[in-house]
Amino acid sequence: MKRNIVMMLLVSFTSIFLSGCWDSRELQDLSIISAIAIDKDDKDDNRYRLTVQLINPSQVSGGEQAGKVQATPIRTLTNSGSTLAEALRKISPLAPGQLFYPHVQVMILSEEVAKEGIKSLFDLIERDSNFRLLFPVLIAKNSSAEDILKITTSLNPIPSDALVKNLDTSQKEWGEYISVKADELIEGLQKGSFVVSGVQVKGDKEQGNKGENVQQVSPAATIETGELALFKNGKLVNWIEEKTARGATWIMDEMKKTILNLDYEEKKDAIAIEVNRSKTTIKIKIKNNQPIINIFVNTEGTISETLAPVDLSKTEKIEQLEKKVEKEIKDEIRLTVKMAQEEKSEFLGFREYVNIKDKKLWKTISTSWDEEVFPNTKININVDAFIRRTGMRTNPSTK
Amino acid sequence: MEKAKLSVIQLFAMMFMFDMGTALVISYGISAKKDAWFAILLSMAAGILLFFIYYLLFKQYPNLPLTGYIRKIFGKYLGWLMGFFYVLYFLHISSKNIRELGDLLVSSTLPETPLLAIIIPLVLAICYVLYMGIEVLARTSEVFIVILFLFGIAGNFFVLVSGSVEFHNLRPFLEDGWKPILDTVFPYTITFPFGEMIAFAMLLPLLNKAKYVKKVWLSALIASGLILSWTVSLNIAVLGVEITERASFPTLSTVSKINLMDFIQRLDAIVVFTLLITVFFKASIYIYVAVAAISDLFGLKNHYRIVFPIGIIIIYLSMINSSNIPEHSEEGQLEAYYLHLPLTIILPLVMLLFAYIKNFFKKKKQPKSDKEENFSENTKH
Repeated sequence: MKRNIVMMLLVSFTSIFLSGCWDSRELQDLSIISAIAIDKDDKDDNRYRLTVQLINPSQVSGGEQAGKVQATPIRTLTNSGSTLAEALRKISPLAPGQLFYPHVQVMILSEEVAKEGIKSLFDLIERDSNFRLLFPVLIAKNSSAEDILKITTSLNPIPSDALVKNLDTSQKEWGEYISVKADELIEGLQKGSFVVSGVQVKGDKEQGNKGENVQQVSPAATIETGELALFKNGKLVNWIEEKTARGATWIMDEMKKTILNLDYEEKKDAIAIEVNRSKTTIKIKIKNNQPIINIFVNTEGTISETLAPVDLSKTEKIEQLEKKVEKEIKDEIRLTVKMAQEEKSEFLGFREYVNIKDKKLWKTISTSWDEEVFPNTKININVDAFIRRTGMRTNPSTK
Repeated sequence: MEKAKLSVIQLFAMMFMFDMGTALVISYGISAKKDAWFAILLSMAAGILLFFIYYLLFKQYPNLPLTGYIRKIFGKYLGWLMGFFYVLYFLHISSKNIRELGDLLVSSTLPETPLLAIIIPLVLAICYVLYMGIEVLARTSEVFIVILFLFGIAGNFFVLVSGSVEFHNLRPFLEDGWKPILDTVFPYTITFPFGEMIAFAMLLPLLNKAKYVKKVWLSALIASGLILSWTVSLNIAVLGVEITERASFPTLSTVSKINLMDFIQRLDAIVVFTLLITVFFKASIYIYVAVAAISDLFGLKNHYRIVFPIGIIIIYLSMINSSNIPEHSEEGQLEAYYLHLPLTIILPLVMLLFAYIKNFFKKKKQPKSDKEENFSENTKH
């Protein structure tokens, strides 16, 4: 009997403590952060100016809103601090509830911050167990990072969500700008050089801040992703655009889908080829203690549009087009490689392959890789392109 | 000693989870960098050698636990003292394991909860199981090893499917040569957890089929070695070697990267549960072994009375054994030299040597008693 009582007490005691109520947080008391923007702060002694975008749950979820004032689905709060942790904590009193980090969807850094160097910027995000490292990071071009978070978007009420989806689609369908997640960026910081996608405001910033922005058919202000920011030693050194950016996608084997325009006879950009499968392999050869990089691209596509009178029922024509595709891809890759060599920053991931190929050689060249070895390294590009199908028609109507 | 019997499967389950305890979650063997997987396999091989030391000792005294034959070998007083060292060692390590679990829970999932509030219920639960007897613990382990396997399969499957695994992170092999590997193997990964299995020298006499000792021990050792090696490779493949080195709990970071179609994500609980289960068994076994050693050394009739007092001591020890996590891991490195090395390798070797010499002279003196020993061994089977 006595033993039973002891056991009962023990069970109730442990169950109280094992339920972990200490850390309970009620949903209605949380302010869910959907995006964070980091700017440089010029005033005072503060280093950073931090903006968070909070979601207004009642505006996002559907349902009747009778008697309620139409509010924007998001709200931004800003404060400054010498460390990110300080700035975040100083924001909390401004927020309606406890700040909740795990749902951060995107992080935006201003160009200024990026130019000054972001080597130590991610420590808080790595160290704090509340953050998850799977959100993409973007660099704000031509505006402060704060402004990006202040633009309202239609169709998708949460701008940060819209932004992330834009980024994903542009990577998947267009293949020019890769979305770099925070964890990849942290790995990149340790390697030296890497690229991050950019984002900018198009249109009138002031109008974008208002709710009317979403009531327009063609909004006065929109946020657009584009361009790649090239980082070297944790600092932004240059922006990469269009074909050069797409070359990077080819080399890094991130290409999913894209459209290539080919010239035909006199007509420029006359034929559009849709690339829908691609695989890049990188092989290293060592000659005279010098690495030689061979890039092999194997790609497949279909003809999606032609403005010139090509006889597409002939294999020989198709083969000609394949050659052109190969040349086009080769040119893009060469642009990127040349740019990387000129900038003396190898962000394309060759270093790992060299290390795997010859670890002894790598030990001797690893410190001078970016500055001396890579700019003088020979890089061979081999592209194999195949056009498999011509779509629903063979020959075009134009003659 | 308690009069209990353990089945082969139960002992396997206990040994397996004992080896998984904490090593699965902390940055185990990472000082060998990209070759951590290889360092672990090497120490597994060395662990097999260590097993033969313990096994030969067991062969000499098949009916006695560690604290029993240590007194036979070193004599009544010195042997008693040595046995008592083992008691302190077992208590210390179990308190460290419990502390590690508490630290993980506080820093990853329960930041507001005081450490003591995590440790007390855990130790009480352990004490309760041990109060019921080692057989209850063994039966519990049979249930939980299945759950552990399910967690392991689920975790591995999702990590592999989520597409962030890049095995070229593990290459090149032997990037910095053999030195870091050997430095890791000896004395760190060899003693933890393979050398720590000396705790089972206290439990071997309880196995119902003594002839299976070798099979059980080796299969548990090899299985756990392979799984630990695989886990560290997976961590490096997902996180990269730099982040794995810096992470306090790399496996947790690896699993937190799982993201399948923005739907299956945040599976950190798998790792936390894995650690909870394995540490529960590791600490339980250590505490039981300490309790059994105490009752053996002090000639107690049964161990029930001292389970809860020892529990209190464990709570106290785990709270005071370090004031922060860096101190905890620095201590761990010292322990490898001053605790693990002498108690799991040197002393058993010396014991084995003494036992052989002693039995050699015994045989010469009275061949009759030798026969008796053989006889008793045969009846056991």
